[in-house]
Amino acid sequence: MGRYLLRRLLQMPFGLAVVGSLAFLLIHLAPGGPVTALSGEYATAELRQEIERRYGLDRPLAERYLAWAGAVLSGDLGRSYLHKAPVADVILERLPATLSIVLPAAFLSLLLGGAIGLLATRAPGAPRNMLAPVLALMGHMMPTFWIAQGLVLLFALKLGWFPVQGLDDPRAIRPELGDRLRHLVLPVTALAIHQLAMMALILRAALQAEVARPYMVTALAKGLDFPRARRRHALVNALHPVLAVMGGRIGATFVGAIAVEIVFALPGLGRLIVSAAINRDHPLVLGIALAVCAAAMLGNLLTDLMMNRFDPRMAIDRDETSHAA
Amino acid sequence: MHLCRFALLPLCLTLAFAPAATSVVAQQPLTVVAAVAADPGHLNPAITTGSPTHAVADSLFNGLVVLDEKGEPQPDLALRWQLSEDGTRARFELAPNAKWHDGQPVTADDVKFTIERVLVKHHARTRASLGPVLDSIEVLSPTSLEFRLRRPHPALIQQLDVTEAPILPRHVYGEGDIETNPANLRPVGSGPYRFESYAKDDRVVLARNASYFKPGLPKPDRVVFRVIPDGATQAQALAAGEVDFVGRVAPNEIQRLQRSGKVTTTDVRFGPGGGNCIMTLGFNLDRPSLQSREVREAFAAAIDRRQFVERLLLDHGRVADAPISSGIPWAHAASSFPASLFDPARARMLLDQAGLKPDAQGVRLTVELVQFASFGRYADLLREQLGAVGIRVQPRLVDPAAMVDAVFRQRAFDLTLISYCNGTDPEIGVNRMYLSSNIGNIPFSNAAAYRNPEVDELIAAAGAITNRERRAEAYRAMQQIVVKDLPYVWLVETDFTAAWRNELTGFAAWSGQFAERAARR
Repeated sequence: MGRYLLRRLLQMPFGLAVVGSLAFLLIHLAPGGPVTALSGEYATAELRQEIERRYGLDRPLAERYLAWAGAVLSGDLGRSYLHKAPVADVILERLPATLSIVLPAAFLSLLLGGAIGLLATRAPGAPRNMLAPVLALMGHMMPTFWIAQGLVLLFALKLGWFPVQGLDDPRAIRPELGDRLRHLVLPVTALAIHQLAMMALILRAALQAEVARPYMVTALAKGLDFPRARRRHALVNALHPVLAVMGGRIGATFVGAIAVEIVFALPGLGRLIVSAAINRDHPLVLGIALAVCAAAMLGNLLTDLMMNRFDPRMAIDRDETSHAA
Repeated sequence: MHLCRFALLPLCLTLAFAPAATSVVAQQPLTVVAAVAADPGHLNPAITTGSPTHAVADSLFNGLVVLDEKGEPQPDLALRWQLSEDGTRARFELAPNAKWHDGQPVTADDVKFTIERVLVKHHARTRASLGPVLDSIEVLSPTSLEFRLRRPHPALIQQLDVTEAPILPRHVYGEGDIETNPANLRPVGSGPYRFESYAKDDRVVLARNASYFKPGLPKPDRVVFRVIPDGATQAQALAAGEVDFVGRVAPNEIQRLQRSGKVTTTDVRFGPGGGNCIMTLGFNLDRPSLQSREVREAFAAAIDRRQFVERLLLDHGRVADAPISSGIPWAHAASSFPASLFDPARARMLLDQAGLKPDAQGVRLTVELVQFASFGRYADLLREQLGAVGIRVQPRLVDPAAMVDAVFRQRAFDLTLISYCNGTDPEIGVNRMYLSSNIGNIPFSNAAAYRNPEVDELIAAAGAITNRERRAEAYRAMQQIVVKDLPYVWLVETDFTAAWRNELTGFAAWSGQFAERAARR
């Protein structure tokens, strides 16, 4: 187990190197550079050249790549052109806002989506209840920004239950916990609906396959009622595909966060990604790419470890034990 | 009985003090929450022309002058000024009681430092306009100074407001590289508000400058700038009362806000960082197919500009009936390019004469339109109108960096759509579109690559004299020529719409210092 973990962790830098290099190439192949964003609309040719010199944009691509890669290897992500601050600081500043919606949304979707998926699963042969799956499919099809706008129109503007935007009331001298929670309800819901629906759909599909297996017949024959057998026996086995899919969706969560952060004007990473790309802020785009990639890799690793925990067929440490034997 | 009396007591007290309570509300501290579309990044308005920085930082600083509603200069840090006969010297007297937020006095030395060492190097617009003409600034006394110019610069005074020429304290910004000065994030200015806090992508909080040199100002106690990137969210926050002021309302939100009955809206022609903007269709004159004047005239005749005003601007703007904006009335050659030029039959005839006959699909000519994605609805309407006479428009909608690269560096376009802001004087934002010396890899320069020595001469002549009537003559003559040559089709003059909650009043929506006089109604 320990050796497996070590091997996976050692593989990460290679994955990051490949992704980072590809991202470097892509952002530099995109038309236009950061100079217009830096110089404004009225710059003279001379000022543009000055800016290019200042940021090393006049150097050949290979030279810039080597300089960037060298700095990254020594733990320095560089300085953002536009924010004029270290990339790591710029990213870390935006992290709390993003986590404050992404984590509750993930928790909600696992719990609620899981419950819906579980309860919507019927015994083989029993009449199927299509309400939950149809609703879940609709939830999954609706784009997140559209859900977000709909929630605002209904719950903020029409009913006035929740604020339209932001993380707290800017008129308050000191932020209060209740106020902050009230501000989180709509963005977290908007972000959760999509994942929740997906969770419910996958779990139901996996469970529906599991409840048709012979071991369920055995469980029912020994006297368990269907709901209990479904929860005790089928659920554990059905978690495997669910974990595999949800673990691979960490990157997609950030994409959902972009829409939610824009609609609710939250100062998070999603908005930072968009503005960095539009302004061709190369170091920042690359820094975010590496950070999101590392998060996705860690997420996948965590998923694999959990799958191993739930599913003995995955036995990560089998080879180690066989060597020992 | 006693219980009953006690129960009534609070009610009686409330009634007794009701009038007093109302006046307490009026005296309660006023926080104005203003929505801005983008994070300012930093708060030094002297080293950037970027509107996100200016929208916030202009409230922290002063210029030598402030522009009134008509764009005319009024006293700010400078109480009075005088131009020499030949227009090469300008003398300014500073307000003796103006102080920086750290208590030090504002001096002529600060002005000299800011203009000579910061603005003409780091502020792109002021560098382009004042840089070539400024010889030196002489400090005559702690509160008086003189600009010495190489030649007359008629737009000088207009360009010394807080957006074009914010004055910085030398003792704070004078040491080291100004780009990395820590005060860029913790600014010290002389303006109506002092810096309190800045959370990136979230908000900037400013507090009232109690020792401001203008008596009785500013009125609000705090101004909070909330970064809200989405136009729909800005409008919704305003309608819900979470935000008090939106400087630039998204055009498709204006009607809904007006119908809500909760906000006051006003159309303004200029604001911090630009104004008097004309949405302009530019031809790439390097393309053989567009070098014929008749073909370009056919484009102009095929476009119904009134539809742009009605359908896209929803009447918040006008047909551009001259190349120079009607917001600069003395230079504007009214009706030199009237809306009545729309004549699709004539467009077809001109295309026929140019030998561009329709093919089997009715297409005479295919052109690529490269423009900002955010102006997408203009592309739709252009495609519809030009398509009706057989000109097929293929829009390529891109982000700003890619647009500048395609149009100004690679020149890979047939048509482009640019919002050219004229500013408050043609020197600021008009000349750049026509000067043959301003072609090349310079964003928002002469996109058409238009060359006419006569126009070059008229622009130079208008810039070398200070007499406004004689300048106006030169600009009118210049407009007659460019309307004949048609390097561009001037579509519509666009206004900004500002909006604020009905409970408040006194906003100066056109000015960088918009909240100085805001108050409860």
